[in-house]
Amino acid sequence: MKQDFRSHALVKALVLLLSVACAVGALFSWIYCAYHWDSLFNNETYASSAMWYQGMQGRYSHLMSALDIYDQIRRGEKLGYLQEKNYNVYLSNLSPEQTNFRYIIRDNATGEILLSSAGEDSLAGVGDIWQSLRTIGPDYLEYSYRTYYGPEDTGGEDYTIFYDDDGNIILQVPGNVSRPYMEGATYRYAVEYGVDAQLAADDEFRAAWNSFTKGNIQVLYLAIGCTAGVLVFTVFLMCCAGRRPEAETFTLNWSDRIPYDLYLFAIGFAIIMLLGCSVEWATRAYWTFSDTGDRFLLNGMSALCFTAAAALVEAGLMSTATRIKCRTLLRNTVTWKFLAWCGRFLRRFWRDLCAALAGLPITYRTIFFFLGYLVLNAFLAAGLFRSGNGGFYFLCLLGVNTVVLALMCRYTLQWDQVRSKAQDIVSGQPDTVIDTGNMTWFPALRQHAGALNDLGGAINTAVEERLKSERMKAELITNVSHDLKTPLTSIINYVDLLKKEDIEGEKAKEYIDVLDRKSQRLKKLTEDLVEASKASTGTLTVNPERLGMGQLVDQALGEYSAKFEDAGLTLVSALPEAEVYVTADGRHLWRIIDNLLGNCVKYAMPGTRVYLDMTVWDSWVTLSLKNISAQQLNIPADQLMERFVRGDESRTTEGSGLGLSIARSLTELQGGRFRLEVDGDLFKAVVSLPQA
Amino acid sequence: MGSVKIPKDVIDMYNILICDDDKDIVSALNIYLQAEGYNTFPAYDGNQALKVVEENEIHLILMDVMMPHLDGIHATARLREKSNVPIILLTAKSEDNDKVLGLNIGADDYVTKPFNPMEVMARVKSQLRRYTSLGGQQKPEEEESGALRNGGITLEDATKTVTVDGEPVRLTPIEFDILHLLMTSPGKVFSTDQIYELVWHDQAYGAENTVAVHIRHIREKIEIDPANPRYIKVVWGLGYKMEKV
Repeated sequence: MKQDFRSHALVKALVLLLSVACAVGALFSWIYCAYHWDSLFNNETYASSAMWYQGMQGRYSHLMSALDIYDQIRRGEKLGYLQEKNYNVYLSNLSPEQTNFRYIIRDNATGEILLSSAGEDSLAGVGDIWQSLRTIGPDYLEYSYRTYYGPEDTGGEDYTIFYDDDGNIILQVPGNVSRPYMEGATYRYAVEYGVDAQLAADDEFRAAWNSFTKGNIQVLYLAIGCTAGVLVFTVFLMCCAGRRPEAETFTLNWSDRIPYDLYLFAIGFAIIMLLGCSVEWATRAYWTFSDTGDRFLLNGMSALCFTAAAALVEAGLMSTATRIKCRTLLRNTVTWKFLAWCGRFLRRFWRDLCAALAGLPITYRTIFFFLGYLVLNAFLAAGLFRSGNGGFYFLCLLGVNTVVLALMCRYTLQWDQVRSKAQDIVSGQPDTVIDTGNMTWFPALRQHAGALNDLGGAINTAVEERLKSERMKAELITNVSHDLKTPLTSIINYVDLLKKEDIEGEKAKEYIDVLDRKSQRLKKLTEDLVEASKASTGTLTVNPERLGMGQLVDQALGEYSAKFEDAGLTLVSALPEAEVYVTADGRHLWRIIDNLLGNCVKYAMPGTRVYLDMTVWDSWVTLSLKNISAQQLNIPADQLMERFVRGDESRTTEGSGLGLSIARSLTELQGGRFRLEVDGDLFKAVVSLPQA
Repeated sequence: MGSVKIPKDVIDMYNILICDDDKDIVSALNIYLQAEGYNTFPAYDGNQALKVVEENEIHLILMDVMMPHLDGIHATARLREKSNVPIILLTAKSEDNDKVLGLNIGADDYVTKPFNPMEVMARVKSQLRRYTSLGGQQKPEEEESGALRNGGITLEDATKTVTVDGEPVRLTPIEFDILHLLMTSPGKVFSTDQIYELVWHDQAYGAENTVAVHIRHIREKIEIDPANPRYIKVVWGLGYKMEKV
């Protein structure tokens, strides 16, 4: 299920605020958790907790400061004003009214109580007493001692000698030491301290106890909750980043249009600065002595800085999400634009170079490339012979020549493709296509191949058009002849029926005879028409066979012998002794001879001779038929072969005027030649076919 | 060519279906067939033809090829699924492949339009005779030696007689010998020289067109339409052959 995150700007702002608030909450609750780590997670006792230990350290250091001053007093030194004031503050801060910290400081030698919270009984309520020994003098003087060691003052032994500010020797320790009290001095003070278990005074121990016992585990849940909240809100914000309620697509706002690398740099810098400030101010607040406004202000500043940093992180994530959605994350960067510009520049440079080369005459180009190749080879060969180990040059030489050889092979192969395409077009397959996609390296070749493809396509289209129109023509003829034949069938049938009726009157019978003749002629005419148009459009199928020409003429004369007798014609034939063979379709060849002999029967003058000669010359078999026309032939021979043309006077006789046209078409369809000659009344038809 | 007379008892009221979308052709054929004593049923497209065949006992069908709704080729194919009644196609398509298609689909014969009515009658008779006397119902009794048969032609060497569709044909001895030669190996092509040598027992030198003329005469005697022979085919430029029917 697809969720639509087109939220209102107000909702987004609200979620942004919530997420930042969660981030701040998470930060503080995690800090709280870390602070209360012991009580919450380590399962330790109060007396071993970090908070308790921190308090002990603080009070002990105050006590030591007070002891330092006490030591000065004891030694009879005069205290400065500030020292005296501080001494009183320390002591009053350590008094049982102010703190639950309890202590007794005794002289280590005598056991006399020097300082204490409440005399002998100071440690009565303390469960766990801590003890330490302390030597104040040299410790205190640490800042003003000077060490000196040398044989002249110490009688040949190494000593570390401590002086006070006035130059008097305070202490002399054998050897080279830096912590004199460990070595020479005795511990002057014995310190015992601890915390009163009653926790009667209101101080940090009681507060720590309170917080330890009340260390709220719920804060942990709050921390987890806030963290989860941050995650959820951030994911939500990233989902609706770039979405607007009114727009279907993603929209970039002004900040998303800043180049990403600049944006990232700026926002990263700001976040680091803000976090730095936050940490700095938090540290200051931690170390400040003042418990009043300053600490609050500093903490507030720190929190504010962190809030701002969190807000910036959210904004940065949203912007990144928007850019990814709009696919501009990488493109809208200064780096990308710079690289793209470099790429464009290089490409333009390359194009200009290519154009400059292409402008050269083709011979110059070839020479140029060859010279370049030669120079490169010469250079590499020179390198090979001059340098001590020629491995690099040898590899280069090998590589360059391999590449050149590969290119040459590629060129040759593609040239061969082009050549075979041209061959295909010539041999009548113009629809093959060269794949010019892989010819990118040789633009001239590709151009040539493209031109050949276009040429082939054009020829193909033309051929298809012609085939289509011829098919349509043949179809038209078939349909028309069918439409003619159907009514003709009825005419012939009913004329035949009429003839069988007993009709009175010679005239009616005569008329019916005319009808009969003309309908028969119409029948012949339609058949011839179909035949003629088929023969001339080449839609007839030809089944060539090796045929005996003499055999065929014999058969044809056998068919026609009776008709010749009826027409009063004498046939004189001269055939070769041996059989001659031609390659032709027997039925078509018969149709040719049928038409020619039929012409003789129809148009030759009765009582004349018809001459039929067959000769073989120069691998052509020639059949010629001569007759004397009964009518005057007043039209030229070549027009006789046109469709429907006949001698004027013969219009009324039987025949369609298509016979010679059909004969010529069929002869040519079988690769032969057909010729007519008219010399006065002499009519001569010549059919030549190649000898098989 | 003359129409062959058939005795009335042989006809015995055959039912013939005429199917053509041109009503005038149907009625013309009707007149011819009824004049010959046949019962006729008209139909004007392929579906009607199928219906008529289902409802009546039909002995022969004359069917046009180009018809509306269901054409003759498809109707023939449908009829052949359950019946072997003779079918003669009437077709305006004179191309060879149309004829071949028609015969392959199960038609027994075809007549191209425009047809001669006499030719149609002759073919009807021929088909009916073959269907009744030689076809499915009765087995021919004369299966003795010496009789060569092809389609409707029976040639008996012993008696030197030839019958076509049961009708005796008178042939000259030379014509008989030529026919006999052709019928001994149907489908084989004999050149004129071969025929001359085998029949005349002489060298074919100068035979000219003697054989061709004789063949023409035979065709005129045994073929219904000598211009479109069914039995003795001319293989132009090669010779003659007896077509296996």
